[in-house]
Amino acid sequence: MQDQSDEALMLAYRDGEAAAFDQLYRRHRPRLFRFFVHETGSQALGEELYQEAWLRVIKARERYQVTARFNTWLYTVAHNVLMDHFRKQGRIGRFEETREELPDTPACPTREPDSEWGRSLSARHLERCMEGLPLEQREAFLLKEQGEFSLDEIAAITGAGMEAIKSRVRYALKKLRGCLEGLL
Amino acid sequence: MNEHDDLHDEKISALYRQLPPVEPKQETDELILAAARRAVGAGPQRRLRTGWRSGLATAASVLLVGVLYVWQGPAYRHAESMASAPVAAPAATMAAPAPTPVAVAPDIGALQAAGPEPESPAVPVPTASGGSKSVHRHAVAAAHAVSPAPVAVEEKAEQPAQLAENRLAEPKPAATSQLFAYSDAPTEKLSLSAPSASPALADNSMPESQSRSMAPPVSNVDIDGLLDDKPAPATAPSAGFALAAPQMQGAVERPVYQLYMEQGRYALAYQQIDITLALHDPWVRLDYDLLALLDNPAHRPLLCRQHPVKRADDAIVHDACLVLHGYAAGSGLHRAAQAKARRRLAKRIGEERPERDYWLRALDALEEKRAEARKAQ
Repeated sequence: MQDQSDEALMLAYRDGEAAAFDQLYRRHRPRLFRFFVHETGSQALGEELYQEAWLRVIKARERYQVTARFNTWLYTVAHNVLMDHFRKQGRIGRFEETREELPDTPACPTREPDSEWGRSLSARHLERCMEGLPLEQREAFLLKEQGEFSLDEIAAITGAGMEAIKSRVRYALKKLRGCLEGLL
Repeated sequence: MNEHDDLHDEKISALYRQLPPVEPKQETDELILAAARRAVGAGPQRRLRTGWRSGLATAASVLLVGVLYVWQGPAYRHAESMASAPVAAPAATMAAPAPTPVAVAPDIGALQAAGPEPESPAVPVPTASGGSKSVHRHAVAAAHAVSPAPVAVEEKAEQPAQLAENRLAEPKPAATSQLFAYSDAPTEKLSLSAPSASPALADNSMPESQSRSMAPPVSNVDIDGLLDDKPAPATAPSAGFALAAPQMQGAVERPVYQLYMEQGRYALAYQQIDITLALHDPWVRLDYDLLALLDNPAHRPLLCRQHPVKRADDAIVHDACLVLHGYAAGSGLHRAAQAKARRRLAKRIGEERPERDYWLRALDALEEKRAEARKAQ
């Protein structure tokens, strides 16, 4: 079962094989969880949305068909969970207005680039810089870095156009570079 | 691709890969895997239930036909006999309008042969459907009770799919009844949802010992009673409070706070409840973050006690206190303030994205400020 593809495992689970889901879950657990935590900026909230995403996967198993990579489908579910959450909070829509704004970020710490401590500090600083990104840009960046999706796949997951995705990634990187200036 | 172009930056990617790993809690893993197993195993059970229901419906239909036949049979047979019998013997038939045992017995026998005899035909059908509806209403009401804001209530009502997911996670009635402890609803409503008043729920999964240990929730409490100087205990008190939280396999549990009475004074304590029921309510999520604060015994006595947090001190913590007080007080007097505080809090959290330890740091700062003020006095 370990050699089976994600899609085969999901089909097996759809047909009633619970062990297939266990395998699938273990494969995607760390990445998906990290995606939610970084997307929400909160471990607790990330955990709840992560759980909700998996519950939706379970619920949708009977309708599952292999039309794309399982990974793409999984992150589409994750995207929908996030959108539902932010929509309820009334946060969607405001990000378009702030697209050009650079985030307020803390002052850059003293850098010791070659030390372990310096690298760790820079990584943590990146975390804070990511939190300052608008939702859509952060999502595009995370899907690219965390999910290792192509731009086409990110467009499919988010339901946005290819040019919009390029624009989001471009802006996200620009802002992160600005935020991390002196650390890179 | 270049190390640094407008769509990729290798240095940022490398930095991202260095981020410390984050892991979901073991309870979350267990809950998800248990739900997955349950979902796969639920198929045949559902079919079984459907079969049982359809069998019952058939039996009820047959019985109804039988009853109608018994009621209307004599008149029908009388009319039939009037139509077919010779005109010479009308008086004997007309003299016996009630059904005779001889006429009815073969019909009942036929019914018994057609299927199992329902013991009390009128009861099973409404009980089966009404019972599940009662559980459903209970779950919805419980979710509403946790989020008294009308907006949340409407959202719940409009999202049957989410409720279905709640059912997928099999929320437990015991937890449901405990959630009512936070209701802003009047006491009568709370008592209606108590396990003892709802036999369908009580005998569903709540152990009798837990039912007994459930104290009636405190409501309509004078807020001043809550705000005493006595720090809340590190563990749940022994009286006036449900001590044993239901330990269900795979449930994600979080501490939730509840008023209790100790030595004639109100105080806050917490217990574990199943959050799967409230999982889809964003307000509850928000409040869980706030309530998680009180996990730290060192800060528990600080939070919101005697309204120490002024709006000018820290608007977010002030609103958090209002939300918590709204829960704690369960008083109509505070409902409006609580609802407004919720909205303000959600907006500010959404905009400012305070870090997870924001609350603790803010409370520490306030405590230091207070200590300095005391010294100055």
